[in-house]
Amino acid sequence: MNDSTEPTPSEEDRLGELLSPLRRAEPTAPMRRANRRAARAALVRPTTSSWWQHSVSVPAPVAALAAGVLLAVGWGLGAWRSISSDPPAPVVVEAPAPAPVTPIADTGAPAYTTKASYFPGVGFVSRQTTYHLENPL
Amino acid sequence: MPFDAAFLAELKRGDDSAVERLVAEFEGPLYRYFFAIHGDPALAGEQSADAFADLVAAAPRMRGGPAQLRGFVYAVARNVERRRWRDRWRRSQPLAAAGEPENDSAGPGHEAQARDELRQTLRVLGGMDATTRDIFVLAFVEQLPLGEVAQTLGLPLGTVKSRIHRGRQELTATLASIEDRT
Repeated sequence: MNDSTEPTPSEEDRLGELLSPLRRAEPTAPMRRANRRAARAALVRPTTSSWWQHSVSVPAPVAALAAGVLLAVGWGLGAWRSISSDPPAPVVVEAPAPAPVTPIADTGAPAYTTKASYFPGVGFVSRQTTYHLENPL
Repeated sequence: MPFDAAFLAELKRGDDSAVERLVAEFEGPLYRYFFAIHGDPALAGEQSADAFADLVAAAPRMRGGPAQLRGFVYAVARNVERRRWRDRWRRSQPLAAAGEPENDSAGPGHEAQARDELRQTLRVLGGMDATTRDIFVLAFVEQLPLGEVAQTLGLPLGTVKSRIHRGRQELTATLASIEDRT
């Protein structure tokens, strides 16, 4: 400790003299009563707070681990959602060929096939019918 | 009187006599602490009451032993002062019968002189930064040993000593300028 930082007795006296008016400052009687009222009121007030206002102290490594686990779970959930929300592959349903139409006496009545795209839960989204003339002229 | 572990346990439990002792021990120091900051006796009284309410509410959560109690009290007091800065638009409601601090004065002439001295003291303290002022109030008004001042304010002892050294130099300069003006 540097001796120059120690006050000399005369400096100490001067400082003491300078600050002595503040040393004599005291709270008034109403202020003293107000202090006791405030302390008593704080005692009466329930100190138990709701569960969501409680805080817990957790060691830093545990907190870091918990944060890591939460991040991993969040990332995994996000990845799973992105996979599950991919549009389903369209199911191409080959409609069975209709029963052969018996040509009506060489009239050249068309036979046809139908191709349709079907999304589960949506229904048919496209349908293509091809007609075949069995006895082209 | 030093605080012991039994007193602290009672205070944390909210025992009436422990709370009464806490108020009795600290109402003077807290009043002077706040008064030294702004020189408003009514506001200092209000802030003391706020500090005791906060102290009693926060006591069950206080960490450390009896040696940390004074530091805890002044930490709460600093929070109360910080709150005043945040809520400075709020008007101060002077307590009834609050006025100039009580002095052991003998007569009107002495009273006026005491008031002048007090004003000068406050002007000098007002020129200091908050930490140096806190150190001066605890060391020279409350007359705590420097080690306890350091512990109370959570500062290294070396910092307390160097602040006092610097504060003394500032005081000398301020006093010289005040004396020049008068």
